[in-house]
This record gives sequence, C-alpha cells and structure tokens, in this order.
Amino acid sequence: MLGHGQGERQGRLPQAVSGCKIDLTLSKVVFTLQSMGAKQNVANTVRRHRLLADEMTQQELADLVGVTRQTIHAIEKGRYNPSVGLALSLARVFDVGVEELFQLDEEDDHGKR
Amino acid sequence: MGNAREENRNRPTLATLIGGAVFIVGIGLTAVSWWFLPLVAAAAVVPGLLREFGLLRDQDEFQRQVARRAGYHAYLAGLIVMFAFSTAFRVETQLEAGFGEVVEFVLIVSWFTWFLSWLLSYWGPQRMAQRLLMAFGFVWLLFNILGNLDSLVAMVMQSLLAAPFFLLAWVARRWPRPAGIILILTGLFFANMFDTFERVFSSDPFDNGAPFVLVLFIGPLVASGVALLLVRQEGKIEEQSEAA
Repeated sequence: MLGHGQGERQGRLPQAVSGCKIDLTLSKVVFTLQSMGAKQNVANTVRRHRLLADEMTQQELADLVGVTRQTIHAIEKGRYNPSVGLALSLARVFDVGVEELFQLDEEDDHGKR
Repeated sequence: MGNAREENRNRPTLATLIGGAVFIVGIGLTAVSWWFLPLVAAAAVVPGLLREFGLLRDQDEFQRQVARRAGYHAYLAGLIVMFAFSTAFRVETQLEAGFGEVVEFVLIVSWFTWFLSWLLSYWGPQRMAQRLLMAFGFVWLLFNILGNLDSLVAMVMQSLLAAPFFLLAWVARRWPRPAGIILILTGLFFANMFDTFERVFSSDPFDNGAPFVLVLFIGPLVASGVALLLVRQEGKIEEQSEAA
C-alpha cells in the first residue's frame, strides 16, 4: 500500500514499490542474461568441404542434395540454417558427420566468442 | 560447371516467372478495364495457394522459409497501415480518404513489403540493393526514352540522370555502409523535395499520390539503405564464395 511517509516526501519510493522494482530489475537482468547475453549461431564448413571435394561448385552440390544454388550460397554465408534432413544430406555428400559440417558458435552481444 | 550455368540455374521458378509476367501484364491491362484486376490478384496468390495445398512443389526449404518470413512482414506492415487508417478515421472526422484508395494502399503496402522482404532474405542486402538500384535506373531510362522520342538531345540529357542509380549499385556491392548512408539520405531528400510526409499526414493523404510515392519510391531506397548498414563483412564473404 502506498503511503505518504518521509521517504516518499524526499523523492524515494515506498518499500513495497521499491521491492517490486528490485524484483523486476533482477528478473530483467536474468532474462537478459539468459536470452540475449549469449547468442547461439551456427557456423559451418560447407564451403571448405566443397572446395576440398575437387572444387565442387555450389550448383553441383545443390543438384546432389536437391536444392537451389542460392540455398547453398545462403548456408555458406550463414544466412540460413538448413533443416536436419538437409544437413544430413550435405554430410552424406562429403562423407563426414553433421557435427563436422555444422558447429554451435556462441557469441556474446558484441559479437565476440 | 561454369559460372554461366550457375547463373542460369539461379533464376526464379517457372511458376514464379509466369505469375510475375501475368501480374505485370494484368497491371497494364487495368488501364483498359478494371475487370482485369482479378487477373492481377490471381497472379499474386495462385502460385502461393497451389504451394500451400501441396499441388505445386517447386521450392526448396530455403525458398519456403523466405516466402513465409516475407509473408509475416507483409502481415505486420498491412496491420500497421490498417490500424493507422482505422485510428485516423475514428479520430479525424475531416479525413478525406476514399474506401477504394485505402484498400489499394493496404494492398500495395502488403504486397510491396512482401516483395522487398523476399528479395532481402533471398539475395541478401547487398545484392538486393544492387539489383533494386539497377531496376530504378532502367525504369528511369525506359520512361525517358519513351517520353522523349521526339527529341534526341532531351532523351540523352535526361537519361544521364539514371547514372547515379547505376553508380550507387556499383558502390553498394563494394562499400555497403557508405552506400547505405547515401541511399537513406537520397530517400529523405526526395521525401523532403516532394513534401511526402507533410502530404501523407494531412487531412487529404491521397492528394497527389503521396503515400504511393512513399511506398514505391522512397520506401525501397530507405529500406535498402538500412539493410546495407546492417551488413557484416558480407562483401568479403560474398567475393570468396563467388570465387569458388
């Protein structure tokens, strides 16, 4: 309940309100740390594997896995994370494990690992 | 295996090409009769409906994701415009905007947002900005050539005004951030020159077609500029990727 005590007259919040504010601030900090502090990107080595495989072109790889060249281009640039099915197909083409092609790349808010 | 073959395979799907062609022809035919408008609507929605019902399987997962993302952006843009007009009609009783104009504007905003978002997600900011500027340049050239068939000098002189668009397209590929700033400033310059914002927020917003200028001309310039400012080292990656 909001009172009209000394603290309020001096520009401070009553205890109940300031307690609420602290809770909200803590919740915000926890939420921020959990959801925004560590951004998970997926890095991939598709391009490296493609070049190691007799400098296979994007179109050849696209034909092998049944997608368009633009999709391979988007994956290589990190603009698109493929579905599990497509990731497995790509891994099969290069005869490697999926983890070798795609890795979790954790970055903080400033883009640093 | 060459690049020429890759470029040929990079074109849109046949259904998209047919839909796009019918869309453009339909827009042209509306000058003859508004009964051709359903043709435009069919071109815009039939390919998507066929895909949703599983009758047309011409897109891969990336293309489907891009289309759905663009659809969500179009939905948000359409909502914003509809809420803005709804509020304006309720609050401002002197608002002079016809029902038809508002509906057409919502359609154009939704469709154009979908189109820009689709291009941005599919090509990335640099290629989108580059091709958009090229398109602006070519449209400018086309209108100037057709409008000055009687005077060769006027045709050549006015066509030179397309050069900045082609120059910016080149700059956008190599130096995305400076190009982004130039695009935003260009958009704001034209908005100021045409008094666009003043007209859009007046009691007669559709006078002189200001909202359409905002969406079809200034919007793409500013959107491309903002997208280019958000590019992270894309130039280097793209060059490496293409060199492969």
